[in-house]
Amino acid sequence: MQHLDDGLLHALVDGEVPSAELGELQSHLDGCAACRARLDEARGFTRESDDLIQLLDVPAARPAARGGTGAAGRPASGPSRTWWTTGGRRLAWAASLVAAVGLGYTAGVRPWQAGASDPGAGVRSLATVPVENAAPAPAATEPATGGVEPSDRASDAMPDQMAARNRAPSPAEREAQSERSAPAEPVAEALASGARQEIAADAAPVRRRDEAAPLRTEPAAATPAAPPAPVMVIDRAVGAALEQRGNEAAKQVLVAWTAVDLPTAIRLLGGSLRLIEGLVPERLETAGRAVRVVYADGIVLEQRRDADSVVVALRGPAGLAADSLARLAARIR
Amino acid sequence: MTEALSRLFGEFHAPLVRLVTRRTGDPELAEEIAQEVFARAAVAPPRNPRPWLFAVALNLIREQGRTATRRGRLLELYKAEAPSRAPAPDAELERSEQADRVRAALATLTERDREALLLKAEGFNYDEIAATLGLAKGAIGTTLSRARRRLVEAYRAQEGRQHHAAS
Repeated sequence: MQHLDDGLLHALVDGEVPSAELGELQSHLDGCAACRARLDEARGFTRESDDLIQLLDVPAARPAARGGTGAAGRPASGPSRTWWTTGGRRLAWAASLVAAVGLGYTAGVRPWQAGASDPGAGVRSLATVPVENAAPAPAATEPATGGVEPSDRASDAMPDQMAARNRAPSPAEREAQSERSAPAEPVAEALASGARQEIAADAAPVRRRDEAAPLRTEPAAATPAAPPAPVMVIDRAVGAALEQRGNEAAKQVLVAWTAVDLPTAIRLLGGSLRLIEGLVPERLETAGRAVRVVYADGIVLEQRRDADSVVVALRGPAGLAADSLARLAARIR
Repeated sequence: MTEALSRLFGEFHAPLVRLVTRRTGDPELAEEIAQEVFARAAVAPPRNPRPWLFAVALNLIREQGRTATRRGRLLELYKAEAPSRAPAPDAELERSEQADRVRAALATLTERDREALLLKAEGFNYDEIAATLGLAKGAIGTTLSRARRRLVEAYRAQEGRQHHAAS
């Protein structure tokens, strides 16, 4: 008698054997105690290896050097949480961001200004994701308990297939389901290279708020020619705002920034101030309804309350690589 | 193209980050790799996104691994010189050490076996694993069989050594 190979047994446990072949397998298992024992062993190894892989998602107690073994200092993510989870609230927007390297960007141009016609001037960016009302964290993961448990009779192949198909979703699958049913996030396109700047520059005109909206800016009048500084806009409703305001945004001009204290800054933004995790702000400034957090080395995080959203723009010094800016943006809390 | 990429991002970003985090143990690196993957997808949208995205991610992990090997020695020296930190709570420390043991056990697998196992843990079926790794579907069961057994046995061996050292 030819025994069933391990690959076939594991395919059976994983529910990957076509139903047309199950009858033959069942017959063999009914008459072969050795294969029944190996099937049980396959189930055990599958269950145990799944449990072990889940352990990789636990928070780390100590930092580890990059590239080495061990969990990183930042809390590792469980299947239902990613590393940017703060206080249990999943900041889904942080995962979606758009990098647009300013082509001909000048210091005075605000990213929410519109109307630039010169593709080489002003800031190019694409509206991305919400910066408020982030989706609540999905339910904490639980070990998959299984729907239909495999039969206690090791010789019964059918329950393995049924169990694999009918079992409760794994934490990964459960999270995928919750993500698919979550409110749709606005567009995010990560454009972090020189080649992708051209794509951003050629992006479609302003669209609905749920879609990516390329943001055009007018070059500030009489500004000195300066190398373009990269700007990343993390925005929710820029498109809608521009549509509503029409040319109004295009008329926005430079204003003077003045120092402001923290409570006032928070109040101006409707109750929350975004900061870049890991960086110490040098000062807070305000101009009209906008607030900016100024860091060392020319890093500026501008925020402006706009109807039901907060427009956020991260600006870096000229010459800063776009992917460096993207990494900073990913740390905005 | 924008809407399609947005859907891709919404559906696959978190699983991608999770897989890379499990594979590398570095959530920050996982985020960087995920960003790079989607940046590439933006330029060349894949027809079959799921295997494509994960295949690119796995390739980037390998590339990063080759670079990290060169820096590994310096990083190890740095770790040895870093000042000791206050001990973490016992339960947290225990779980962290368990995670370290799992990673060490995973490191005993071949790259292909390790990747197949992590993809399966992300809910990939055999067709998808085969497409992602460039293997024949018929080989996936055998690959997973070998990977699971090896992982479990390697982990048990480490636990045994630890218990022996503690006693």
